[in-house]
Amino acid sequence: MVWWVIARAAFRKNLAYVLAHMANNAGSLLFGLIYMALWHVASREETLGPFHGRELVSYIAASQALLWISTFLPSGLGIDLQVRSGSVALEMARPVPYVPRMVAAGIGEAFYNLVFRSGPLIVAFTVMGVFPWGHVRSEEALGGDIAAVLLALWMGVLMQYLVGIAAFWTMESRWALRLFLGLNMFMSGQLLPLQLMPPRLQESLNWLPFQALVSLPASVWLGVATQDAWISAGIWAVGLYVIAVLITHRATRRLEVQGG
Amino acid sequence: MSERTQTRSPIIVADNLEKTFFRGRGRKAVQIPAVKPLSLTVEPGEFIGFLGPNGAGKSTTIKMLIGILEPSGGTVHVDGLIPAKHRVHLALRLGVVFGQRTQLWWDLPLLESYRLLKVMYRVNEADYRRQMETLVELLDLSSFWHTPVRQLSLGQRMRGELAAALLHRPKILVLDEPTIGLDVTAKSDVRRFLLRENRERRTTIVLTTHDMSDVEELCTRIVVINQGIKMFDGTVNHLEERTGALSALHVTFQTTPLWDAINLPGIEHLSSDDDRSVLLHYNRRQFTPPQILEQIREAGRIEDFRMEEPRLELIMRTLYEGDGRLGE
Amino acid sequence: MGILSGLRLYTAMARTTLQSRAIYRANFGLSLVFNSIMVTAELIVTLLLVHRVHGILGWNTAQVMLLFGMATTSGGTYRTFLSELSYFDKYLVNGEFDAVLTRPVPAWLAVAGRSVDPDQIGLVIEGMAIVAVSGTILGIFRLDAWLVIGELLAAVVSGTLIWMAMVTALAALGFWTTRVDTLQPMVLYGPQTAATFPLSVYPTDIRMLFYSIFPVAFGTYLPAMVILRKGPGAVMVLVSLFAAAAALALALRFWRFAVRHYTSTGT
Ligand SMILES: Nc1ncnc2c1ncn2[C@@H]1O[C@H](COP(=O)(O)OP(=O)(O)OP(=O)(O)O)[C@@H](O)[C@H]1O
Ligand SMILES: [Mg+2]
Repeated sequence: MVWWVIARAAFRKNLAYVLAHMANNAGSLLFGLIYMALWHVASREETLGPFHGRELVSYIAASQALLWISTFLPSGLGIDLQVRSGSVALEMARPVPYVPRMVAAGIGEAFYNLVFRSGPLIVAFTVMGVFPWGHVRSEEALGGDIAAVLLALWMGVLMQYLVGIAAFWTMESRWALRLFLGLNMFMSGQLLPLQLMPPRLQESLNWLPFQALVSLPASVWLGVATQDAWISAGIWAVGLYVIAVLITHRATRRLEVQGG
Repeated sequence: MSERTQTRSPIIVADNLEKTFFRGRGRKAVQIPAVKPLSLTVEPGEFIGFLGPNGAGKSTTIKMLIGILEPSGGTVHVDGLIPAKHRVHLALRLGVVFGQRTQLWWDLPLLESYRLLKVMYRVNEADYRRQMETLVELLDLSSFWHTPVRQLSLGQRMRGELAAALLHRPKILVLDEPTIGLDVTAKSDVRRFLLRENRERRTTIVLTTHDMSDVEELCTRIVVINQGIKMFDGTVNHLEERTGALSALHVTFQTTPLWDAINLPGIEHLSSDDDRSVLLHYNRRQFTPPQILEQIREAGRIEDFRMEEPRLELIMRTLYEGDGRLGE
Repeated sequence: MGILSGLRLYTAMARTTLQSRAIYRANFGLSLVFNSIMVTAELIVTLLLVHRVHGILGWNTAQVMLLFGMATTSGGTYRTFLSELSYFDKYLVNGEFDAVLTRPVPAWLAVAGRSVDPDQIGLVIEGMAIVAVSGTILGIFRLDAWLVIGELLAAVVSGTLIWMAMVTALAALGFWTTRVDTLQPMVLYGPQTAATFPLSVYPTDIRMLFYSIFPVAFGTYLPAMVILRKGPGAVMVLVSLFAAAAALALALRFWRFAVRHYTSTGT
């Protein structure tokens, strides 16, 4: 299966850098600890939204692990680099369709991150006793837990795809990455759970794709996810792929106009 | 050589220069001795061809000469300075070109790169003008003066790189594969320019290349290294004397020849592309081509023959492929 | 190299860098806009957080906002001048650093000369706006406005120097780890965020990090305490400045040491 081969290659490519990534994980852990300390102090006695006591700290722990599979993927899946170096015309001419190929590679990267980035964080948070394992009760719940993670991963990859493809119009896509990261910081609930935002805002953010990147899986793990959030994520999972295909189609036309 | 050292002081002196790289980390680290103790003395005004097969340690040596790499052992002095220590100071007297990699500003036209180099190398306005004029003319830069470097052809870019390296009139020019990837005319342009720079301005030039015709046309002296060890140091003629002036003759027979008749003493039968033709190596001082043809007539009727050139390439091939010892 | 000729050189290099970026000018506006979206998002999250829990350890929302503004301003300033240094490993991976070393310019200055990034100026402007707004809400300019402005400027300078020291030290580490990937942004992300909150929030051992390895305390928290008259006297601003300068000097020494361990790349 060609997609499997592509994804596996992307996964393996990273194995050479496991050591460097581990050093990196220390930075990531520090970041998590900072926000956890913050919520630890902030949520001393109160019950905030649906969260009781230390649950907010657990939410942040989950969020930190999730960021690595949904947000901190290779910028633009490397598409912007292809555009800048001009190799994209060649890439698009390959016999395997472009969108699923780049997405498959992105999924490979995301799985690498799941094992070597999220993994160590989860271990650390588990040792500290703050990772939300408590809610993985039944097999039924486990199914939902995993599905939410896979959804986050899938949509994270697609978002990066869109970031990368922006380079077709502007030659580089750093701006798109910034836009994505900026919106994501606020709208995915990575630092401030959506449940703690004003109700109207919360309602609208729920129907944007960003919530599926962190808020949905973290809430599922803590047992506070709503059905609406699931439905929204399901729609966007399909919708983003369609958008990616359509935009790529337009981008290809641009390529032809420019003469490769 | 000894008499020259008495009159002038050498411009490059490497004494047991060494470089060992480490690949991997911790217990699994592998040592790669890229340059083994290497000694070398270069006089001002020499044009040195630095030769050797891929991975011989040429680039590594050059990087130590210009201060990019710190040697793992031994010492090196370039124009009296220790490169790694006095890098900034030394850089003012050096011109460097890496053929594999541009040193110009990718997104800018040449003009802008030169303007910056002028400030970097502290060239005053009058000198800059004069030198630029000469370079533009000699290297014919005017036609792509305003084109961003990334849009230049390789040959144009290389001419641009040479001008950049010479803007500040360096005493020493260091070139790592400056002719790589160039077509025949571009190559000869570059060579003509380098020759002039060396002969007229007495600029010391150190050059690495895999193109033996570069060496034949340019170098007053060649240094051959293999696996980090110096194997030869002297002139091309000197090398020929040592290796036995190799020449090659390519002979095609009308029918499959009698191989026994070709296996003659003093003639090495190297390879045959098909079963009718054969490539013979021989010592030019021992035989002449007519003599050889005469000898191998026994093998069959000869349809065609031609001399193989260039001869330096042959010498190098036997040098690289052999055990590395010259017939001493 | 004298300071003056160094400055002249830096200006020339920075000018060339700006020119070569000019071809991506279309992205300049976009970058400004999206940078500010990112800062705004971060600000909103921060303020919502503090607001939701009615202040943190005696710091109210406007005070945290001031802290945030100070951190953003100095973060933006260092990024404007040294953006590339955050991604320095790319120079080492593809051997681009070879070209830097062939020039008669101290390596750090040469990298700095290539690192100016006007896209980041938006951060500085926005940071200053946040400081102005929160400062006005807090009424810190009402008495002794010039003193407070002086203190703020000093804080931005020390903050910028601290950041420069940290990216320099991290970039220098790259000479050994070679492929550090996005080590820099990731490692710096934590301290950067930490600096936008009062450091008293963190457990002691984490807090100590921000006075030592990642000395962001001297760029925001300590000067902010002075400005908000939360204890330490104005001398703390000077102490911070001194600490920041010392940090950068130390980092530069480490950098020079590291450059001698540069191993280049095979071609
Ligand atoms: N930066 C480096 N790190 C590790 N090993 C290196 C490095 N640079 C070179 N080497 C190794 O050192 C040896 C000599 O390499 P060097 O680049 O000097 O060869 P060269 O003579 O220039 O070859 P070529 O003709 O292919 O350019 C090779 O085995 C190479 O793999
Ligand atoms: Mg080489």
